[in-house]
Amino acid sequence: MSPTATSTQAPGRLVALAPGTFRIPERLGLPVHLLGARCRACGETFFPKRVFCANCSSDSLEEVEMPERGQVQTYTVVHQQLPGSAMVPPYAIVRIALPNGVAVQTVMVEGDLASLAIGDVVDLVAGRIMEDDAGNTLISYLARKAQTEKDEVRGA
Amino acid sequence: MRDVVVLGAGLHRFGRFPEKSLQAMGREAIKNALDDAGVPFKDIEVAYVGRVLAGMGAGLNVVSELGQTGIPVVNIEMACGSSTSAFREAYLMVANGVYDTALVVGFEKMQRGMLQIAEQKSYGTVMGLSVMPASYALQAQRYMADHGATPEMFAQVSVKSHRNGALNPYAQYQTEVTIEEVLASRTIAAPITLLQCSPTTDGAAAVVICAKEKAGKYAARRSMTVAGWATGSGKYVPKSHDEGDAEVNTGEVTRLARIAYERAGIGPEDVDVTQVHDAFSPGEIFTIEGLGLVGEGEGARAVWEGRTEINGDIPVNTDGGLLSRGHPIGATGAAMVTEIFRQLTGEAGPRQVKDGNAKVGLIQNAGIGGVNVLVFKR
Ligand SMILES: [Zn+2]
Repeated sequence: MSPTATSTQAPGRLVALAPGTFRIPERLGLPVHLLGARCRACGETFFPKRVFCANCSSDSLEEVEMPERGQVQTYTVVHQQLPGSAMVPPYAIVRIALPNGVAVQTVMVEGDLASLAIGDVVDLVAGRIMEDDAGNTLISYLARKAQTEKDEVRGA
Repeated sequence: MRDVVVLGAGLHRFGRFPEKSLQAMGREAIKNALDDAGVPFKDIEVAYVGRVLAGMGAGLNVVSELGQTGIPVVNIEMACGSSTSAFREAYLMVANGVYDTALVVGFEKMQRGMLQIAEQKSYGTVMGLSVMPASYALQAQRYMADHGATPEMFAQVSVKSHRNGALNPYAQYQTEVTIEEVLASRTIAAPITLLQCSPTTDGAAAVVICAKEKAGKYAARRSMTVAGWATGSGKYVPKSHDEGDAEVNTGEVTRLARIAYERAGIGPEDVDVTQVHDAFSPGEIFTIEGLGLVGEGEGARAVWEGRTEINGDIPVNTDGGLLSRGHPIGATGAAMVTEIFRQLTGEAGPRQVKDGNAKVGLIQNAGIGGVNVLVFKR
């Protein structure tokens, strides 16, 4: 079973599993813009953020929002439980190409794994991963098949 | 730089030896390598040790089993590429005249189950992303879509590896498997099934190297020369120069292979036998493309058509590779050198390629932190 993004009810305060990777939305299931970094010296964009540019080693980087929609570059369905993971197989790992050239790897929200295909248009949405000891709901960005037209992601 | 030769190599059998200590396994491999080389331990001037999971100072604990001659023992770690890194450092020291004779050792004792590549509470673990086979599976899915390859072609890598492993008395698995068995084993990360994953392994491997000009006194029956090398840690490719949505990432292997070939004065067409890092079955397919042994997108078909078999035109992983010989991570690279030594010296027995006339051997060994490419000549 993959994590749910569809249920908007969360028992606790929403907290990012990886702090600083995106702005916390009002509720689960909403699109999220990931927060990356753009190098002021050479223009390369990174997600997750970096302090020094991987391309030119400049430390002059600014925070930039990533597009919330991209295309599935590739995927795999995992059938083996990873010890310590909140994900229960089978679940799909996807690599998403964002229109700004950045590739993001994450997990698909619960859904039809069999119909997943390279080229699918997906949105990054806030999904529940687990509760922490303090009763907070730990969330992260998950991929969900876009419900609108397929070519909207192009040309950006 | 001076020419450097490999004078001998030795293994402790790969497998599971819960009752045996690391010292005992390492001692056996070193003893086998020294005997094979005809070099007494007292002549070894330095030891470079590839190891990952053993604790502090493990290199000395093992090497000093052979005697306390006061030599420096250098511990090197690059995950699954540790002992080719150790080999490279030892080679460069001897080539540059710092030492004449050096020992390279790799060893590991591993826990059973999937290798944990991230810490328990890391983001990648909680999110279920740090699944080792998944990175190969992601590339394999894309490769199938781009090049019309099939799951059967990936499974064939494992069938071939097990067939070779069955000819290797040091291999962890010495039993053949059918393609049906490989495909029917449980799926780990599609299209990769359990029998397409390298096992966790205990094992040790050792290699003795010497400056060529000093090797005469050992009256070694035979040797092979280190002809080329390259190493790197993954060069950033600016997105504007990226070939679109980077699907199968053979870029780093290609970059390093070019350097190694140039140093050796050869091209991929000159290679007679190859060892590649097949931690998972797609590894062989992607790497033979990265090394230029076949064209882009031709790897799966090359395997399917038997070209990488012992009697094929580009034999790969003749000893069973990581999939069947086993993958005790710190020992894997030195075991690769050992098999190339057996092949180039015509001592590979039933695994021998090209009727014993193989002249050039190639190794690609990858680890978290980089890739090592080595070229050897008879
Ligand atoms: Zn930069």
